[in-house]
Amino acid sequence: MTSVGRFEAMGCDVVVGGAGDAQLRAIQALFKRHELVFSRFLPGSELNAVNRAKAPIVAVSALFADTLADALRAAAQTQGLVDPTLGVALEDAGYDRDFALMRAQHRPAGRGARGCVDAVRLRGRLLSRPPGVKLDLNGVVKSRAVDDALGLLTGPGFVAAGGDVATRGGGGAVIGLPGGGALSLRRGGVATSGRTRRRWRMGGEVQHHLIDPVTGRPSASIWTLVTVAAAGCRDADVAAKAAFLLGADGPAWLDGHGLPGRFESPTGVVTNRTWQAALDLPVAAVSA
Amino acid sequence: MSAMRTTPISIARHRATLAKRTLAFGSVLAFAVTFGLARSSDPVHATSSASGSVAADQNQTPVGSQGGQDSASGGFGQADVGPSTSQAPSVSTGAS
Repeated sequence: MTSVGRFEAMGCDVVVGGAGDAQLRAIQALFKRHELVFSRFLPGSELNAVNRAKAPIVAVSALFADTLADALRAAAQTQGLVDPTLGVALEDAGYDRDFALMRAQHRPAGRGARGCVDAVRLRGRLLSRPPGVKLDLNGVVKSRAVDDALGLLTGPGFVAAGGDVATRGGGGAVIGLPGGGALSLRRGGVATSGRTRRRWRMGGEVQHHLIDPVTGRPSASIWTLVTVAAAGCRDADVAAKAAFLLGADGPAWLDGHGLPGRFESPTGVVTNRTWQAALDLPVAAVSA
Repeated sequence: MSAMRTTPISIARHRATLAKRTLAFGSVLAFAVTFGLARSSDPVHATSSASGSVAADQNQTPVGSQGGQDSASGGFGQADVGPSTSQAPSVSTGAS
Protein backbone atom coordinates (compact mmCIF):
# COMPACT_ATOMS: atom_id res chain seq x y z
CA MET A 1 0.00 0.00 0.00
CA THR A 2 1.82 3.09 -1.16
CA SER A 3 -0.48 6.02 -0.59
CA VAL A 4 -2.98 7.26 1.95
CA GLY A 5 -5.55 9.89 1.03
CA ARG A 6 -7.92 11.77 3.31
CA PHE A 7 -11.02 13.90 2.94
CA GLU A 8 -14.08 14.82 4.95
CA ALA A 9 -17.57 13.54 4.16
CA MET A 10 -20.75 12.63 6.02
CA GLY A 11 -19.52 14.57 9.04
CA CYS A 12 -16.42 12.44 9.52
CA ASP A 13 -12.89 11.88 8.26
CA VAL A 14 -12.48 9.40 5.43
CA VAL A 15 -9.09 7.71 5.05
CA VAL A 16 -8.23 5.67 1.97
CA GLY A 17 -5.14 3.49 1.63
CA GLY A 18 -3.90 2.15 -1.68
CA ALA A 19 -5.77 4.49 -4.01
CA GLY A 20 -4.31 6.39 -6.92
CA ASP A 21 -5.42 9.96 -7.60
CA ALA A 22 -8.23 8.94 -9.92
CA GLN A 23 -9.53 6.29 -7.53
CA LEU A 24 -9.41 8.72 -4.64
CA ARG A 25 -11.46 11.23 -6.64
CA ALA A 26 -13.97 8.53 -7.52
CA ILE A 27 -14.27 7.52 -3.87
CA GLN A 28 -14.71 11.14 -2.83
CA ALA A 29 -17.47 11.52 -5.42
CA LEU A 30 -19.14 8.36 -4.16
CA PHE A 31 -19.27 9.67 -0.59
CA LYS A 32 -20.50 13.04 -1.80
CA ARG A 33 -23.28 11.40 -3.80
CA HIS A 34 -24.41 9.38 -0.78
CA GLU A 35 -24.36 12.49 1.37
CA LEU A 36 -26.50 14.45 -1.09
CA VAL A 37 -29.07 11.67 -1.23
CA PHE A 38 -29.21 10.50 2.40
CA SER A 39 -28.32 13.47 4.60
CA ARG A 40 -30.89 14.40 7.23
CA PHE A 41 -29.35 17.86 7.39
CA LEU A 42 -29.35 18.94 3.76
CA PRO A 43 -32.81 20.36 3.00
CA GLY A 44 -32.49 19.29 -0.64
CA SER A 45 -31.53 15.69 0.01
CA GLU A 46 -33.72 12.96 -1.43
CA LEU A 47 -34.22 11.57 2.07
CA ASN A 48 -35.73 14.86 3.23
CA ALA A 49 -37.88 15.07 0.11
CA VAL A 50 -39.24 11.59 0.84
CA ASN A 51 -39.80 12.44 4.50
CA ARG A 52 -41.66 15.64 3.55
CA ALA A 53 -43.84 13.97 0.93
CA LYS A 54 -47.50 13.58 1.88
CA ALA A 55 -48.33 11.04 -0.80
CA PRO A 56 -48.77 7.51 0.55
CA ILE A 57 -46.64 6.09 -2.26
CA VAL A 58 -43.55 7.80 -3.61
CA ALA A 59 -41.08 6.89 -6.33
CA VAL A 60 -37.45 7.00 -5.25
CA SER A 61 -34.13 6.87 -7.08
CA ALA A 62 -32.35 3.59 -7.76
CA LEU A 63 -29.67 4.39 -5.17
CA PHE A 64 -32.30 5.24 -2.57
CA ALA A 65 -34.29 2.09 -3.29
CA ASP A 66 -31.22 -0.13 -3.19
CA THR A 67 -30.07 1.34 0.12
CA LEU A 68 -33.52 1.21 1.67
CA ALA A 69 -33.85 -2.41 0.59
CA ASP A 70 -30.60 -3.13 2.37
CA ALA A 71 -31.79 -1.23 5.46
CA LEU A 72 -34.89 -3.44 5.48
CA ARG A 73 -32.64 -6.51 5.20
CA ALA A 74 -30.63 -5.19 8.14
CA ALA A 75 -33.85 -4.91 10.13
CA ALA A 76 -34.72 -8.50 9.24
CA GLN A 77 -31.23 -9.70 10.17
CA THR A 78 -31.51 -8.03 13.58
CA GLN A 79 -35.15 -8.84 14.28
CA GLY A 80 -36.05 -5.18 13.92
CA LEU A 81 -33.33 -3.73 16.14
CA VAL A 82 -31.56 -1.78 13.39
CA ASP A 83 -34.61 0.12 12.22
CA PRO A 84 -34.69 2.69 9.37
CA THR A 85 -37.90 4.39 10.60
CA LEU A 86 -36.49 6.25 13.60
CA GLY A 87 -36.09 9.72 12.10
CA VAL A 88 -38.75 11.26 14.34
CA ALA A 89 -37.23 9.59 17.42
CA LEU A 90 -33.83 11.10 16.60
CA GLU A 91 -35.38 14.55 16.23
CA ASP A 92 -37.29 14.13 19.49
CA ALA A 93 -33.99 13.32 21.18
CA GLY A 94 -32.66 16.63 19.82
CA TYR A 95 -30.52 15.31 16.95
CA ASP A 96 -32.04 17.61 14.38
CA ARG A 97 -28.95 19.26 12.92
CA ASP A 98 -25.41 18.43 11.90
CA PHE A 99 -23.63 17.06 14.95
CA ALA A 100 -20.96 19.76 14.73
CA LEU A 101 -23.71 22.31 15.36
CA MET A 102 -25.30 20.48 18.29
CA ARG A 103 -25.52 22.36 21.58
CA ALA A 104 -27.04 21.45 24.92
CA GLN A 105 -30.73 22.33 24.97
CA HIS A 106 -32.77 23.29 28.00
CA ARG A 107 -36.07 21.98 26.68
CA PRO A 108 -36.79 18.37 27.55
CA ALA A 109 -36.54 15.64 24.95
CA GLY A 110 -39.68 14.67 23.08
CA ARG A 111 -41.57 11.48 23.73
CA GLY A 112 -39.81 9.61 20.98
CA ALA A 113 -41.42 7.49 18.31
CA ARG A 114 -41.23 3.73 18.09
CA GLY A 115 -39.95 2.03 15.01
CA CYS A 116 -42.46 0.74 12.48
CA VAL A 117 -40.24 -1.00 9.97
CA ASP A 118 -42.81 -3.74 9.46
CA ALA A 119 -45.16 -1.15 7.95
CA VAL A 120 -42.70 -0.04 5.27
CA ARG A 121 -43.16 -1.52 1.80
CA LEU A 122 -40.71 -1.23 -1.07
CA ARG A 123 -41.44 -2.71 -4.46
CA GLY A 124 -38.90 -1.78 -7.04
CA ARG A 125 -38.60 1.98 -6.70
CA LEU A 126 -42.05 2.50 -5.18
CA LEU A 127 -42.08 3.18 -1.47
CA SER A 128 -45.07 3.07 0.87
CA ARG A 129 -44.80 4.02 4.54
CA PRO A 130 -47.26 5.11 7.23
CA PRO A 131 -48.11 8.83 7.50
CA GLY A 132 -45.70 10.83 9.62
CA VAL A 133 -42.86 8.32 9.48
CA LYS A 134 -39.43 9.78 8.83
CA LEU A 135 -36.80 7.46 7.48
CA ASP A 136 -33.19 7.57 8.63
CA LEU A 137 -30.97 5.27 6.62
CA ASN A 138 -27.71 6.10 8.32
CA GLY A 139 -27.72 2.68 9.92
CA VAL A 140 -26.35 1.36 6.64
CA VAL A 141 -25.44 4.35 4.45
CA LYS A 142 -21.93 5.09 5.67
CA SER A 143 -20.85 1.46 6.02
CA ARG A 144 -22.20 0.63 2.54
CA ALA A 145 -20.30 3.61 1.17
CA VAL A 146 -17.12 2.22 2.76
CA ASP A 147 -17.71 -1.19 1.15
CA ASP A 148 -18.56 0.35 -2.20
CA ALA A 149 -15.49 2.59 -2.02
CA LEU A 150 -13.29 -0.42 -1.34
CA GLY A 151 -14.71 -1.95 -4.51
CA LEU A 152 -13.32 0.99 -6.47
CA LEU A 153 -9.76 0.07 -5.54
CA THR A 154 -8.03 -2.12 -8.08
CA GLY A 155 -5.37 -3.37 -5.70
CA PRO A 156 -4.84 -3.94 -2.00
CA GLY A 157 -6.04 -1.19 0.27
CA PHE A 158 -8.44 -0.01 2.88
CA VAL A 159 -11.19 2.57 3.36
CA ALA A 160 -12.11 4.01 6.75
CA ALA A 161 -14.89 6.48 7.50
CA GLY A 162 -15.40 7.74 11.03
CA GLY A 163 -13.96 4.55 12.46
CA ASP A 164 -15.73 2.09 10.16
CA VAL A 165 -13.08 0.22 8.18
CA ALA A 166 -12.97 -2.21 5.26
CA THR A 167 -9.86 -3.75 3.77
CA ARG A 168 -8.69 -6.37 1.32
CA GLY A 169 -5.63 -7.73 -0.35
CA GLY A 170 -1.97 -7.52 0.49
CA GLY A 171 -1.27 -7.99 4.15
CA GLY A 172 -4.54 -6.33 5.13
CA ALA A 173 -4.45 -3.60 7.71
CA VAL A 174 -3.73 -3.27 11.39
CA ILE A 175 -6.76 -1.71 13.02
CA GLY A 176 -6.34 0.20 16.26
CA LEU A 177 -9.04 -0.50 18.85
CA PRO A 178 -10.76 2.01 21.15
CA GLY A 179 -8.73 2.47 24.30
CA GLY A 180 -5.70 0.58 22.97
CA GLY A 181 -4.82 -2.71 21.36
CA ALA A 182 -5.09 -3.65 17.71
CA LEU A 183 -6.15 -6.44 15.39
CA SER A 184 -5.02 -7.55 11.98
CA LEU A 185 -7.79 -7.41 9.39
CA ARG A 186 -6.74 -9.27 6.27
CA ARG A 187 -10.13 -9.12 4.55
CA GLY A 188 -13.49 -7.73 5.64
CA GLY A 189 -14.71 -4.90 7.79
CA VAL A 190 -14.54 -3.64 11.34
CA ALA A 191 -17.02 -1.19 12.83
CA THR A 192 -17.59 0.34 16.23
CA SER A 193 -20.91 1.69 17.46
CA GLY A 194 -21.52 3.40 20.74
CA ARG A 195 -22.60 6.38 22.75
CA THR A 196 -19.27 7.97 23.60
CA ARG A 197 -19.07 10.45 20.74
CA ARG A 198 -22.48 11.41 19.39
CA ARG A 199 -23.99 12.40 22.70
CA TRP A 200 -25.48 15.61 23.99
CA ARG A 201 -27.68 16.97 26.76
CA MET A 202 -31.31 17.88 26.46
CA GLY A 203 -33.34 19.02 29.43
CA GLY A 204 -30.41 18.00 31.62
CA GLU A 205 -30.45 14.40 30.38
CA VAL A 206 -27.77 12.79 28.24
CA GLN A 207 -29.03 11.74 24.82
CA HIS A 208 -27.30 9.76 22.09
CA HIS A 209 -27.99 8.59 18.55
CA LEU A 210 -28.54 4.84 19.04
CA ILE A 211 -32.30 4.59 19.40
CA ASP A 212 -34.09 1.57 20.86
CA PRO A 213 -36.89 0.95 18.33
CA VAL A 214 -39.11 -0.50 21.04
CA THR A 215 -39.12 2.63 23.21
CA GLY A 216 -38.30 5.21 20.55
CA ARG A 217 -35.75 6.72 22.95
CA PRO A 218 -31.93 6.55 23.15
CA SER A 219 -30.95 3.05 24.24
CA ALA A 220 -30.17 2.39 27.89
CA SER A 221 -27.65 -0.29 26.88
CA ILE A 222 -25.05 -1.33 29.43
CA TRP A 223 -22.37 -0.88 26.76
CA THR A 224 -20.57 2.29 25.79
CA LEU A 225 -18.86 0.89 22.67
CA VAL A 226 -19.22 -2.30 20.67
CA THR A 227 -16.66 -3.33 18.01
CA VAL A 228 -17.42 -6.11 15.52
CA ALA A 229 -15.50 -7.66 12.61
CA ALA A 230 -17.40 -9.17 9.68
CA ALA A 231 -17.09 -9.91 5.98
CA GLY A 232 -17.74 -6.27 5.14
CA CYS A 233 -18.11 -2.94 6.84
CA ARG A 234 -21.89 -2.95 6.40
CA ASP A 235 -22.22 -6.31 8.12
CA ALA A 236 -19.89 -5.26 10.92
CA ASP A 237 -21.73 -1.98 11.49
CA VAL A 238 -25.22 -3.50 11.50
CA ALA A 239 -24.10 -6.26 13.86
CA ALA A 240 -22.33 -3.79 16.16
CA LYS A 241 -25.46 -1.64 16.44
CA ALA A 242 -27.66 -4.66 17.15
CA ALA A 243 -25.23 -6.02 19.74
CA PHE A 244 -25.12 -2.62 21.43
CA LEU A 245 -28.92 -2.43 21.56
CA LEU A 246 -29.20 -5.98 22.90
CA GLY A 247 -27.26 -5.05 26.01
CA ALA A 248 -26.19 -8.09 28.04
CA ASP A 249 -27.42 -10.43 25.30
CA GLY A 250 -25.13 -8.82 22.72
CA PRO A 251 -22.03 -11.07 23.11
CA ALA A 252 -24.01 -14.31 22.79
CA TRP A 253 -26.02 -12.94 19.87
CA LEU A 254 -22.81 -12.20 17.98
CA ASP A 255 -21.49 -15.68 18.85
CA GLY A 256 -24.67 -17.11 17.36
CA HIS A 257 -23.81 -15.35 14.12
CA GLY A 258 -20.14 -16.37 14.26
CA LEU A 259 -19.00 -12.76 14.62
CA PRO A 260 -16.24 -11.56 16.95
CA GLY A 261 -17.30 -8.72 19.25
CA ARG A 262 -15.58 -6.49 21.78
CA PHE A 263 -17.72 -4.69 24.34
CA GLU A 264 -16.75 -1.70 26.44
CA SER A 265 -18.74 -0.63 29.47
CA PRO A 266 -17.98 1.86 32.25
CA THR A 267 -16.62 -1.07 34.27
CA GLY A 268 -14.32 -2.68 31.73
CA VAL A 269 -13.95 -4.52 28.44
CA VAL A 270 -15.26 -7.97 27.51
CA THR A 271 -14.98 -9.98 24.34
CA ASN A 272 -17.23 -12.77 23.13
CA ARG A 273 -16.12 -16.35 22.50
CA THR A 274 -15.71 -15.82 18.76
CA TRP A 275 -13.40 -12.89 19.38
CA GLN A 276 -11.35 -14.89 21.86
CA ALA A 277 -11.02 -17.79 19.42
CA ALA A 278 -10.06 -15.60 16.47
CA LEU A 279 -7.93 -13.03 18.18
CA ASP A 280 -6.64 -14.75 21.26
CA LEU A 281 -6.86 -11.59 23.27
CA PRO A 282 -7.11 -11.55 27.06
CA VAL A 283 -10.60 -11.37 28.49
CA ALA A 284 -11.32 -8.83 31.16
CA ALA A 285 -13.76 -9.57 33.92
CA VAL A 286 -17.03 -7.74 33.62
CA SER A 287 -19.38 -6.68 36.34
CA ALA A 288 -22.01 -5.06 34.16
CA MET B 1 -87.90 13.82 -12.70
CA SER B 2 -87.53 11.13 -15.30
CA ALA B 3 -86.70 13.80 -17.86
CA MET B 4 -84.02 15.14 -15.57
CA ARG B 5 -82.31 11.76 -15.35
CA THR B 6 -81.99 11.50 -19.07
CA THR B 7 -80.64 14.93 -19.88
CA PRO B 8 -77.28 14.87 -21.60
CA ILE B 9 -75.76 16.70 -18.65
CA SER B 10 -76.95 14.20 -16.06
CA ILE B 11 -75.84 11.29 -18.24
CA ALA B 12 -72.41 12.86 -18.59
CA ARG B 13 -72.19 13.38 -14.84
CA HIS B 14 -73.25 9.80 -14.23
CA ARG B 15 -70.59 8.52 -16.62
CA ALA B 16 -67.96 10.72 -14.99
CA THR B 17 -68.90 9.39 -11.57
CA LEU B 18 -68.68 5.82 -12.83
CA ALA B 19 -65.31 6.52 -14.38
CA LYS B 20 -64.01 8.03 -11.14
CA ARG B 21 -65.23 5.07 -9.12
CA THR B 22 -63.68 2.64 -11.58
CA LEU B 23 -60.40 4.54 -11.42
CA ALA B 24 -60.49 4.61 -7.61
CA PHE B 25 -61.24 0.89 -7.47
CA GLY B 26 -58.40 0.20 -9.90
CA SER B 27 -55.99 2.24 -7.76
CA VAL B 28 -57.01 0.39 -4.61
CA LEU B 29 -56.65 -2.93 -6.41
CA ALA B 30 -53.24 -1.98 -7.76
CA PHE B 31 -52.12 -0.87 -4.31
CA ALA B 32 -53.35 -4.11 -2.77
CA VAL B 33 -51.61 -6.22 -5.38
CA THR B 34 -48.39 -4.22 -5.15
CA PHE B 35 -48.12 -3.92 -1.39
CA GLY B 36 -50.82 -5.85 0.39
CA LEU B 37 -50.43 -9.27 -1.17
CA ALA B 38 -46.66 -8.98 -0.96
CA ARG B 39 -46.87 -8.61 2.80
CA SER B 40 -46.87 -12.32 3.52
CA SER B 41 -43.54 -12.76 1.77
CA ASP B 42 -41.93 -9.65 3.17
CA PRO B 43 -38.74 -10.52 5.07
CA VAL B 44 -39.26 -7.77 7.63
CA HIS B 45 -41.19 -8.76 10.72
CA ALA B 46 -42.31 -7.13 13.92
CA THR B 47 -39.70 -5.62 16.17
CA SER B 48 -38.65 -7.38 19.32
CA SER B 49 -37.70 -5.94 22.66
CA ALA B 50 -34.19 -4.60 22.80
CA SER B 51 -34.01 -5.57 26.44
CA GLY B 52 -35.14 -9.11 25.80
CA SER B 53 -33.27 -12.04 24.40
CA VAL B 54 -33.02 -12.30 20.63
CA ALA B 55 -31.53 -15.55 19.49
CA ALA B 56 -29.60 -15.91 16.25
CA ASP B 57 -31.90 -17.33 13.61
CA GLN B 58 -29.92 -19.78 11.54
CA ASN B 59 -32.80 -20.16 9.10
CA GLN B 60 -33.17 -16.49 8.37
CA THR B 61 -33.39 -15.37 4.77
CA PRO B 62 -29.95 -14.66 3.34
CA VAL B 63 -29.36 -11.08 2.34
CA GLY B 64 -27.96 -9.58 -0.80
CA SER B 65 -24.54 -8.99 -2.16
CA GLN B 66 -23.06 -6.55 0.33
CA GLY B 67 -20.09 -7.82 2.23
CA GLY B 68 -20.19 -11.43 1.09
CA GLN B 69 -22.85 -12.55 3.55
CA ASP B 70 -23.10 -16.13 4.64
CA SER B 71 -26.54 -17.67 4.93
CA ALA B 72 -25.28 -20.16 7.51
CA SER B 73 -24.65 -17.31 9.92
CA GLY B 74 -28.02 -15.64 9.52
CA GLY B 75 -26.91 -13.30 6.78
CA PHE B 76 -23.66 -12.01 8.24
CA GLY B 77 -20.37 -13.02 6.67
CA GLN B 78 -17.14 -13.50 8.57
CA ALA B 79 -13.98 -11.43 8.38
CA ASP B 80 -10.50 -12.80 7.93
CA VAL B 81 -9.14 -11.40 11.15
CA GLY B 82 -6.40 -12.25 13.59
CA PRO B 83 -4.20 -10.94 16.36
CA SER B 84 -2.27 -7.82 15.54
CA THR B 85 1.39 -7.81 14.75
CA SER B 86 3.73 -5.37 16.38
CA GLN B 87 3.39 -2.83 13.59
CA ALA B 88 1.57 0.42 14.19
CA PRO B 89 -2.12 0.57 13.22
CA SER B 90 -2.89 1.72 9.68
CA VAL B 91 -6.12 3.19 10.92
CA SER B 92 -8.35 3.00 14.00
CA THR B 93 -11.93 2.01 14.61
CA GLY B 94 -14.10 3.96 16.99
CA ALA B 95 -17.54 5.39 17.51
CA SER B 96 -18.39 7.88 14.78
